[in-house]
Amino acid sequence: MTDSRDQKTYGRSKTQRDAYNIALSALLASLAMILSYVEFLLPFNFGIPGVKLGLANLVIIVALYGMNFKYALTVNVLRIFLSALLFTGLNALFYSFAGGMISLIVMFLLKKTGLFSMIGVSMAGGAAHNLGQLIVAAFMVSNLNMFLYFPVLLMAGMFTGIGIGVVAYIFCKRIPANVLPGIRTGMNK
Amino acid sequence: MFKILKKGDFVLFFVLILLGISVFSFTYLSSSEGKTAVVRLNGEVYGNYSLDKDKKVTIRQKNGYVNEFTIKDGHVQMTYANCGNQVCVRTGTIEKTGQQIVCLPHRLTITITGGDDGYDGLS
Repeated sequence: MTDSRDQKTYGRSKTQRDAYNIALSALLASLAMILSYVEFLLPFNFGIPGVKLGLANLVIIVALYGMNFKYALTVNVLRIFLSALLFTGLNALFYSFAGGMISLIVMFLLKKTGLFSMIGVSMAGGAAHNLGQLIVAAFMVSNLNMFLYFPVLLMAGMFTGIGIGVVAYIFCKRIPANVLPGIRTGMNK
Repeated sequence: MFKILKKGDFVLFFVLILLGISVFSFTYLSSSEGKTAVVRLNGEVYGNYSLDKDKKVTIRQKNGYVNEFTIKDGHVQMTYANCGNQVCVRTGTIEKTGQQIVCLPHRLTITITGGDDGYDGLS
């Protein structure tokens, strides 16, 4: 094992790393948007209203593990605003914003504890995403009976989250380590 | 594949499943109290009665059919009917949205409505 700092930065200077990270987060944001668009075009309908696969979450997990919370947040906010403006409309913005933010924060905190694998983190993120959307929905119609729907969305979020987590794990395992600095250290933590 | 999972993942999985089940049972048991009893004769609405006020209602039809139901503490019960089979009287009390007392010989139904109407399209 070589010096961990050297392994992480690949001999790049700080300016180089910043430029690299900015370009990389822009790339990830556009990838997330494409995945949002794919999901918009081909909705994976499970027969339950409000249940989606959450493909874009894949990118957020990769950003969270491969870069850091700050960049994952940037990618997430960009993804949410741009895909709301382009595809789903502003009405859905509140839902996806609340869901995306709560999901990211939960995933960040769970990752930080080091007790959970990528799949567990993704599962919790999926569940938190649906919970955030439900909270906004309950506020919008000011009706707590919305929470009758909570168990359904919780389970759906967990299972789609597990699926996304498995894909994210395979992706992170395969991608060359110099593309995403910190991806190996983040995974083995 | 299972090597990558950690103990925490399983704990989290079961905690979330448990949370879902408990929220489900909690909402199922508590939140579907109805608000009004709708009485229908021959499929047409005869009257709406609030479940908040305790009262006794007697319904007399022209052909001599008599039904009497009682609202008490948010529950509805058919307390008297001069029909042949007495199914409606034996139904007992109803209080949740969607529950029904039917007196088929008299073509009379009492349905609980209001309160929670099920899921909204939003989510």
